Amino acid sequence: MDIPPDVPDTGADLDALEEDIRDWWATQNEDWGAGDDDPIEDGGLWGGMPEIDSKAVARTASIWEDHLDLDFDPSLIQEGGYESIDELINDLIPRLADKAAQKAD
Amino acid sequence: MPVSPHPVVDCLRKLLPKATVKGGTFSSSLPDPRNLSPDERRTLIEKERDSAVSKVLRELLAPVGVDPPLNRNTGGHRKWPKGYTGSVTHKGTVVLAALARKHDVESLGIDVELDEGNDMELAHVMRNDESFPASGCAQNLISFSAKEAVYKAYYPITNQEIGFSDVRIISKSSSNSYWQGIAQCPESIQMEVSSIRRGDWVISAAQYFSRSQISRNMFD
Repeated sequence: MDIPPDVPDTGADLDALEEDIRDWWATQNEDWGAGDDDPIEDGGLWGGMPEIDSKAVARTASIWEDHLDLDFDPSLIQEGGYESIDELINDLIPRLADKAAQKAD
Repeated sequence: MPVSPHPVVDCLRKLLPKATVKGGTFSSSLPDPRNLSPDERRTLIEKERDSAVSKVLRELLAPVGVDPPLNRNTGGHRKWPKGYTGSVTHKGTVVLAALARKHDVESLGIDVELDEGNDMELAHVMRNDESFPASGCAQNLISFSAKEAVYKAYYPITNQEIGFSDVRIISKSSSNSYWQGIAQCPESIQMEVSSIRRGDWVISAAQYFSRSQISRNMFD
């Protein structure tokens, strides 16, 4: 992500934050569909396909909190989740960085 | 894209006796995802999910003479027909939608989640002054699902976003697979919230009743 110029400087390494979020997403997708006997009926594999829904994003709370030193606010998660990890990063990093900067003021 | 029956639909009907519930799974027509690239899988499931949600909403809204899509307000939330409250949720290939008359329930919210065995990271969702009829991941998942439903029911009546720590849930009763509680929210708003566990699925509903509705419900 190219950090937009209006994202406040929180003292945090936003590039490292982005990398950790991307690593988390890569881990979610690592073992999906790896087994030859993974069920496909009744939506088995499709049903278990990693999604960037509100639950998944809520599970990243500790990553945001570690980097930005704030309590993760789930109300900031876009309704309906995100279509891609890029969309999540481009939406949440500026907004949470802004919250962190406000907290520091 | 057909939407086939799924057990979670009946679970939600039990949680919302005053609402119309529609939904199901759109998995039957999907190909083996392992034959697709990650981008193809994601594009396909999003396209088919949108189509399934539209189909379910069409069934739900037909009796009230409204066609989807529904407009959304500035917060991105659906605007339900005048005199009605509703909610939509989906997980994987399962979509659910509920609609009720505001005469019967002022606002409702629904949520469906799948226990994927990885919900220890949701522990922060629970407040220290809460407890749920489970432990570990299962407790975290019920807490998360219940609060998601509360959030969806809360926004239409206040136009305010709230976080997990803003809602305190007090458990009232529970059995093997059914749990019921009261959600205490900001602005002194209280809601009834309940969940059913069906296999790996957790289905939750939150309902906000006005004072006159509460009185009426007492004598039903």
